[in-house]
Amino acid sequence: MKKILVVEDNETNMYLISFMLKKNGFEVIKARTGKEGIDLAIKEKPDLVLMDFRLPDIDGLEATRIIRDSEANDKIPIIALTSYALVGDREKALAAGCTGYIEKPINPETFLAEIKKYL
Amino acid sequence: MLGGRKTNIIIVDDSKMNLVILETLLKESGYEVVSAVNGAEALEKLRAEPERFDMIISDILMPVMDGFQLCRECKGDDKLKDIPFVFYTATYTDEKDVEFALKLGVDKFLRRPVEPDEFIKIIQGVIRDVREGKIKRKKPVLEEEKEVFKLYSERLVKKLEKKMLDLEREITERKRAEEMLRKAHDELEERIAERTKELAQANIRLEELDRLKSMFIASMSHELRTPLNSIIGFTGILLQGMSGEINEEQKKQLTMVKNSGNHLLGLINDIIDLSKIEAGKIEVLIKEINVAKTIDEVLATFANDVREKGLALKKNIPEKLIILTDEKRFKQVLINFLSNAAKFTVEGSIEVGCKVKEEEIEISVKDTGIGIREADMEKLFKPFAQIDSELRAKYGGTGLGLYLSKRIGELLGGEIWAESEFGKGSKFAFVLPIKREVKHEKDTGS
Repeated sequence: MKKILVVEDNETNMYLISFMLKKNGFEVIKARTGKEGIDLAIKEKPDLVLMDFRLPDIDGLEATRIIRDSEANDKIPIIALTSYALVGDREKALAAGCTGYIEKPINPETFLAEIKKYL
Repeated sequence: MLGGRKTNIIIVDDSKMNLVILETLLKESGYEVVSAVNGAEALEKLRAEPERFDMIISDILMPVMDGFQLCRECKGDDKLKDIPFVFYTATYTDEKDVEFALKLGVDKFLRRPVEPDEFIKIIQGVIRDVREGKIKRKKPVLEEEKEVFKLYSERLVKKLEKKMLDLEREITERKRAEEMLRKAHDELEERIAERTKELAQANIRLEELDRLKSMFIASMSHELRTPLNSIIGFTGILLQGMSGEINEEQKKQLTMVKNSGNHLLGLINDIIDLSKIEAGKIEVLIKEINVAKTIDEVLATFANDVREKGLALKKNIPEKLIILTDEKRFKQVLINFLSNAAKFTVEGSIEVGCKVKEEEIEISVKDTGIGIREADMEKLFKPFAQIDSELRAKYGGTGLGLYLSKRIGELLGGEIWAESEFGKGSKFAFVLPIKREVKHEKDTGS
């Protein structure tokens, strides 16, 4: 069973994403803050990380950089959950070391196919 | 008439206008007229043909030789002294003038203006009286000339003094006007400086407001989208049956929720894009794109809808055409054109075309849809200017699509245009400049 770490502070989004992932046979690890995300990424060695950009403590960009800097985790696909509204998020995400990005709101019809591209 | 010939009058005046008036009047009354513009000319003509003239009518003040001098010359000339001499003038009207003139041997002194009929009557009278000896010719008296000249010079001095006074008054007035003008000018400069300062401050406030507005729209849009995560996300999950089986009615209703959610999302995205464009903050990522491939990717998302409506989807794009542009924005415009075409076409076809000119390419979407009335064409690219509310209710749409496309077109250095025949179809085109050369991909297969 593939393990996916979801770093997301919004409860509804967390529920939505983990529901879809679980229903499709993934194991889900949840992190609500950037710091928790970094810790779990290093400790649990997930197969993929879904990283929200707006987090209460360390933001998604910084968390991605820290995870990338830790030796064990420099190959994990990290997918940024970006917002269309903010200027330059896509470019920033890729520059920080994200493997790809998914724009919010998540489209349930294409979401799983996109995730599978990176596994 | 004298002895079978016309009575001949010489008229002397330095005013051409006076001469013409007098000449016309006299000729109409049957006189022969000769004109002279001053005493000297008159004297020359008189001396050349002394027999010819029956009367002299002269102004007084004239250049070269004045009327008085002319009169003196005539009265001192045996051949001319008997010709009746009349002064007709407006210049000197003092009683002394008349007296002096008469003393010079003048037969009549007339002051301008005299009524034409009256004038002719007087002239006839003088000629008759002189002929019949009724006017007593006096010997010219020259002694009183001095007195008259003194009078004239006094009058001239008075006139000059008045002129000088007028001039002085004028100068004073001009000085005052200049002063006022300078004051007004200074005041104006002061006000301009003040206004400039105010405008600069207003400008700073406006820039700040504009920044706040853009920030507000960006964060507002972000906040508006967060609930859409749930709406779109969970309706999607439910529709896919992930939370259990749903019946047809539930599916229909959930689809409506999903469509409304997507519509709202589209609207918010358009507003975000517009606010970014207007704040000059839109990202433009220029890179090489394969036109045919990019268009195919967009067409793939429309294929189902178009097929379901029974429309033919045609395309005519050169296979290996590469251009430099922003792929995302390029697609955005194309999607807008295609979704309009799909929306407003009930039967027939939608055709995507591409024309390559020297410095630009034109991508067009042509449909056989409902078309646009001539009068509505200009509204087409304005925000929220969907032709009528009936159409909006029937076909949906944000009312921002074409306006946004137009702005994107400008952003990419190109333009958007449309042509249409009402009831027959429309064509929307996207013209992009090719700042760098269009390359044709090398055929790697051979």
